[in-house]
Order: sequence, then C-alpha cells, then structure tokens
Amino acid sequence: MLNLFTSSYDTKLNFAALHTPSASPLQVSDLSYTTAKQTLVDQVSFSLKAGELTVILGPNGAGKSSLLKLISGELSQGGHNIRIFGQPRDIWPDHLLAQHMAILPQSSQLSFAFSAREVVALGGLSLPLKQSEVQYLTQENMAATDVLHLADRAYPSLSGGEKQRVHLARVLTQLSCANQHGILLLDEPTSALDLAQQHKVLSLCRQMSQKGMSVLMVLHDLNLAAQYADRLLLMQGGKLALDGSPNTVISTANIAQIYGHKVSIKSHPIHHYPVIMSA
Amino acid sequence: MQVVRYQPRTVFVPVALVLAVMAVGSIFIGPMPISIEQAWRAIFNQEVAPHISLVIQQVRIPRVLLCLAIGAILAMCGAVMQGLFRNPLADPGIIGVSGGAALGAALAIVVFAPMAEFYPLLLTLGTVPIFAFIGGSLVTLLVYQLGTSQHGTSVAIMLLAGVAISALAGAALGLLNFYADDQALRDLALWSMGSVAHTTWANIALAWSTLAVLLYYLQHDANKLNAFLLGEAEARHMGIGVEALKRRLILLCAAGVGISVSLCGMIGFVGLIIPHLGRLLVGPNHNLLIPLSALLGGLLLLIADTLSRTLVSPAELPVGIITALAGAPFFIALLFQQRGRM
Repeated sequence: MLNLFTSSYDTKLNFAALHTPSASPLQVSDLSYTTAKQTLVDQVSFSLKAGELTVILGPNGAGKSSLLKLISGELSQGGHNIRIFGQPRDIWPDHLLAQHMAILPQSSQLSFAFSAREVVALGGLSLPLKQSEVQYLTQENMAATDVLHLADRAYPSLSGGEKQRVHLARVLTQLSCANQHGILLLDEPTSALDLAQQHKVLSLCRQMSQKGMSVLMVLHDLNLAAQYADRLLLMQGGKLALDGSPNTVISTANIAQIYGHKVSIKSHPIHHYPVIMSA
Repeated sequence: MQVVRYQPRTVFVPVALVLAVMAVGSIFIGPMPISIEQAWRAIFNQEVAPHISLVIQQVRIPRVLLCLAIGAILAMCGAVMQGLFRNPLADPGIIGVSGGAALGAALAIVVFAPMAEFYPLLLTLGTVPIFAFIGGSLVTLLVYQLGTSQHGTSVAIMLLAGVAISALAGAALGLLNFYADDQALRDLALWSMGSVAHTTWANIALAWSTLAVLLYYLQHDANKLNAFLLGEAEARHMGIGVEALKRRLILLCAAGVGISVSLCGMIGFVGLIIPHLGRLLVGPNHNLLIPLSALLGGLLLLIADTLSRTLVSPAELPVGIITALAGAPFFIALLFQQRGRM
C-alpha cells in the first residue's frame, strides 16, 4: 500500500523543465475527436496569445464543449495535438498542470456546508505554498471577485452568481503561482446567471486577461461574446469555421451561414463592438 | 446562513477529556461491584482478590479498548464514505458495505471451520477479516458504480442498492447457516451476536493497528477528499489523481468496516451519527473531521456499550441494538431534512 502514495516532488525543478515562456500558452494543432457515431471535433487548429480573452461560439452540437473538454483533459484522444506552454498536455504532471491551467465549471454540486472562504482556499491545494500564504491569496482573490463580504457564509446558501464568483476566486487562487500567465477555461460561465451577474463575471474575466492571463470560454450569447472577447472562434460541425476579432467575424452573412438565422448588426455607438439583433 | 467555526482546540480538548473520563469510568462500572481502590490495584498488578483482577484485566479493560478502536474505525469510515459519495447519508451499514463484509466473514467461518480447531488464531486474525474486507470492497465498488455518474451521486440508487445488497447478504447468511456443520454453526452464532464482550488481546491488537493505519492514510488524503467534495471533474482539474484516490479510499474503508465486522459483528449507525455531529462542530474539513470522528466514535460506542451492560444487568444487550435505537431515528430525521434534495 505504501507505494500508492507519491506526493513529494520538487516543483521548481519540474517547472523549469516544462515551462517555455516564449511558447504560446495553449496551442491546438490539427485536433480531431471521433466517437463511434460521429466526429465531434474535426481538425481544429489555433493558438492562444497571453493576455487575450477568446470565446468559442457556435450552434448546439458544433463541438464547442467537446473542444473545451479535450483541452481540460476530461476527454482524451491520445495524440500530442494540444500543447501547453510548448509541452504536450499529456506529459504535464497533474499537479503542475493544475498550477497553470484552471477550469471554472458551469455549476458545482457541493452540498456540504463549507464557508465561501474554505471553498476558495481549496484552490491552494496543489500549490507549493504555506497555509498562511494560501490564506493571504484567498483574501486577495475574494476581494478581486467581490465576494469578501460572503467569506463566512455557507456555500450552499449562496445564489448562482455568488457561487460562480466564489469559484472564480478559487481558480484564481489555483493559478496564483503561474506568474499572471495562467490559462483559464470556462464552460458557459453565465448560463445560470441574471443580466447583472453575467456582466460582472465577464468583466472580471476580462480584467484577468488584461493582467496577462489567457482566458478561453464557451458562450452561447453572441452579444456577450462580441462585447467582451478579443477574439472569436466560430465552430460549425466540429470544424473551426471562423477565427478573428468580433468586428471581422460577426457579419450578417457569417451568422446566416453558421446559425441559419437572419440577423441585423449595428455597431455599438460608444464602444464600437458589433451588436446583434434578430431580424 | 453564516458559518460559525470553533477553534479546533476548543472542540478537541473537551472531547478528549470526556473520552478519557468515560474510558476510565467504564472500567469501574459493571455487574460486579469493584471499588476504585480495588480496580487501581488490579490495573497495576498489585495485591488484590484474584477474581477482581481477572474481571478487570481480562474482561473490562479489553472491552473498553476494543470499543474505543471499533467506534473510531466505524466513525472515520462513515466520514470518508460520505465524502466519497458526496452525500451525508452514506453510512457503511445503510449502503450495504457491512452486509457484504458480514457475508464474507460468514463465508470464511463456514469454509475454514474444519481448520478452526487446530488454528484458531488463523481464523480470527487471518481468513475472517480478509474475507470480510473482500466482501466489503466488492459491495462498495458495486454501489459506487451504480450510484454515481458524471452528475454526482444519486441518493435514491445508493440507498436502494444498499437495501438490495443487505437483503442478498441476509439470504446468503441464512443459506450458510443451513449448510454449516456443527463447529461452523457454533462459531457463526457466536460471531453474529455481534458484541464487544468476547475478545482477546490478539483482536485488540488487530483493531488498534487497523485504527492506526486508517488514521494515518485517511489523514494523508484529507485535503484531496475536501477537493473531491466539489465534484470529480473539479478535483481532477485541481491536479488530483481522482481514480487512484477513489480506489484508495474505497479499499481503506472496506478494510476498516471489514475488520470491525469480523471482530464485533454488525454495529450500525456509528458511521452516520458521528460524522454529522463532527461537521456541526468543526465543519466539513476532513483534516479536522476525521480525527474528531475517531474520538467521538470511540466515545459513542463506549457509552453504548456501558448502557448495554448496565441496563439489564447482570444480563447484557447486544451493543448494536443500542446504536440502532439511537441511530435509526437520527437517520429518519436526516431523511426529512434531505427530502427536498433527492
């Protein structure tokens, strides 16, 4: 039974060997994923730049979630088509990868009465830090996501938006050893939230990307995506159909072709991002 | 809802003190009146009437020691299983793990009965606990496969699986009784009375070493188990080897439950009540919950055992009846509380 446990490691040593600072945080090349029935992801290639907020869009069944799951490791296709800081995803040890890439879930099923602060502190689990340092980071990140006033509330009693922000603080804690260069993946982070909460969560994500993080999320709402994204990846039938800034990707013709729906598009009078209206 | 957390010290110190007082106190309590001075002399091997020295050294002290270890093991296993299933209703007895362990133990008693006469120690310390462990692990794996999916644990399926497995184990136990030869039948009957009354120093050594091993390894995984409460995928994303963790915890719990069942028969509800109580005191953090459950579990079984041998003195009630009388209403209350969420 003794050899079941292997926990002692030298983080710095491994990190130096794996981390290539000049490489793209996340590079996906020719990635495909096929189940017995169908091809869910079909020859997708892109690479993220540090400090960008990228949104994956597309109709239902376009392969958005599968793509995100391949990157997060929930699905696996065996090859070396996903590279993180230059190294194939599969050769990263779990605990080191967790320090550089975190995933914000759609919702979490936690039913035990942890306080919000304790949930955020769980993010420090894989970090080579002392308890007091984790406590300090917890405090900082809860302030950053505006949940410090909820610190001693029981997590199950929070609202959907409050829970999402608590988890955001948790994944920020998890990425706090990545020197502002972490990768944050989000799977429809706003699906259960009201208008104000949606914008609160997304502007927090944008702040993080502006500090140097790479943020990649799946969204359904074209307008939210157009407002917050630096770059859009539009998927259709498993393929990456369009890749570019919101102003180049979102056009009446593109939306009609990919979603099969007619829209009219205006430019926002002040911020100049496209605003999509159903025609 | 505000969360109030007591300082660990303000919880652990009083609990440990009460436990110590109870442990010493229950040495003096029993059908045979023994004064404190006599007990003192018996404990430290000083001059005292031989029957008193016998009762203290061979009956009461072993019994207290066994209660402490078994209560602690059952409570810790309950706490860990509830974490593993992410549900506060997962008790080794309720989801059928104890039933599976009991079936394994009974099987070993019947199969190896012919050898019992020549190698009694092999049976009590070897084959019976090992078979109980195997039975317990198979059931835990089965219930886990049945009850959990990507979206979490289905309480209904988990509890129903427990009902089915307990029924199956009960039927198989009956069959074993039917086919057992005389020696095996005697051993089965003795064992299935399920009490802490008849024990040997070898059993106590087994119980305490199990407790030590479990405490060490479960505590080692406490942080990971905390993260696991967020969900399997979330824990994986936090860099935890989820599959290995699950395998380890299932095996450790099955070992704990298997050994306690093989030593004392089925004692239910300790693993349900104690972790719940522990969470009220220190919260769901397993770093504190696991050791606190060990202390409280020992205390509960000690109290239950003291009651079981004083209520109808000089006769004795099986201790499992006392814990069930306390635990079953508690379980129903928990069900009421959870009704909206199932």
